[in-house]
Amino acid sequence: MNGPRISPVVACDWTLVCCAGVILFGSLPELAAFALCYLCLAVSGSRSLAALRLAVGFTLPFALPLLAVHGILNANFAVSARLFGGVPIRSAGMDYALVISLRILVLSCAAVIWRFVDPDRLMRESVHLGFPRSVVVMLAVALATMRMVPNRIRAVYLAQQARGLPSGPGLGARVRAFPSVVVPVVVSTLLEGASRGEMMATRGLGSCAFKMALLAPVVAVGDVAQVLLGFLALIAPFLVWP
Amino acid sequence: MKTRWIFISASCLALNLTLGKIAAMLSLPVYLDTIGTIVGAVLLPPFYAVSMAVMTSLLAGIVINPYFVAFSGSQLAIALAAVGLCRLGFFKAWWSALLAGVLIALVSVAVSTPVSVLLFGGVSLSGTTAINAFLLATGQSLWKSAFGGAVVVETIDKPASALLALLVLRRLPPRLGAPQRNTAEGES
Repeated sequence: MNGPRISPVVACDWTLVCCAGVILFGSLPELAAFALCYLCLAVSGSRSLAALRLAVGFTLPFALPLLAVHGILNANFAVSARLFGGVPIRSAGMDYALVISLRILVLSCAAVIWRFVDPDRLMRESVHLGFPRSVVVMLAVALATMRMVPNRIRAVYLAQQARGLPSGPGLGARVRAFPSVVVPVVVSTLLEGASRGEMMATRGLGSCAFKMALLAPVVAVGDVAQVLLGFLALIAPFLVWP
Repeated sequence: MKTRWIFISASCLALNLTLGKIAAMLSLPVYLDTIGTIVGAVLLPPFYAVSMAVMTSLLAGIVINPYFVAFSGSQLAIALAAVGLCRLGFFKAWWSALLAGVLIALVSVAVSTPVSVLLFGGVSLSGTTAINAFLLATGQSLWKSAFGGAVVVETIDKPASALLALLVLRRLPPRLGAPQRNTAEGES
């Protein structure tokens, strides 16, 4: 993700603030106030509306079904009104759906913030904080491998089609074709991973402890201010609704 | 050996993420994000298999959809169940792999239903929402509806993933993977 980079420490702090807020605030007004503060925090951290757009984009596929399921269909909530003479509207269900949607919005925002963290700095500081180096290397290799798998799926699919694989029309044909595409993709990815591992081992990777540039983490004044802003977002709803 | 395991773990992780992303993008009624976890449970030592499973959820939460982070516990439970079932020799024949898939599905339902109810109000990205909505409209409680929906989807997804994992394992050379693979499918 382009744009200003958020410090991993700040992202950790804001994630904890998000979890604390989701646990602490149960009522709709409190949660709405917290969500508003948290969104402002994310926008200020990323210095763009991209974080907000992404978080809303992730929340909508949940919010709309939630409103339909609990506000109209869920028979456990009493009917408070009828729309067009027949469609039941359940206000308690609507409130419940809004509370859940706001929680998902805040959690999405917390996850989106991590997209603005510099990956190199994240890896370095994870190792510095004692995170297993093998897991950090695994993450870095997985991110690189992930970019190759869709191309491999496309290539295998085209190759199988050239061999006369029935891939449609109809759901049945596509389901039957699924293993003949997935299995070669998985096998080739694993074999390539193993051979790359052997190749890297022969070049010395893993023969001693994995070494990374262990620069001491730099804590800037701006980072401290952002950590404090995170705590402010957590206590702001208490100030509004004491 | 450690380097090789790291690279195989990374491949399993990448497969989980890519297949999970495709299933989420196509709104398929299955998740397909555990094929790598099950294969990894057979091929890798337990530490790498479990780390890879947890990292799948955390990374998917950032790269694909924040929804996946909430189900880190499910991935962990699935990896532990798959490692245990592999040690017991469940990935030898298609029928035992199918049974392993059903058992993994039950573990997954037990761990993921509370998350689905408490955090997402019974709504998910897969086809479970439609089943849950139907059950709620018939007057069932949210817990029962979420449990029913999860049972339907998981008992399709996990046995299918286990069978696909078995197909993959049969096509891989025997030298690939950790020693427990020999006990898991020594005769096959």
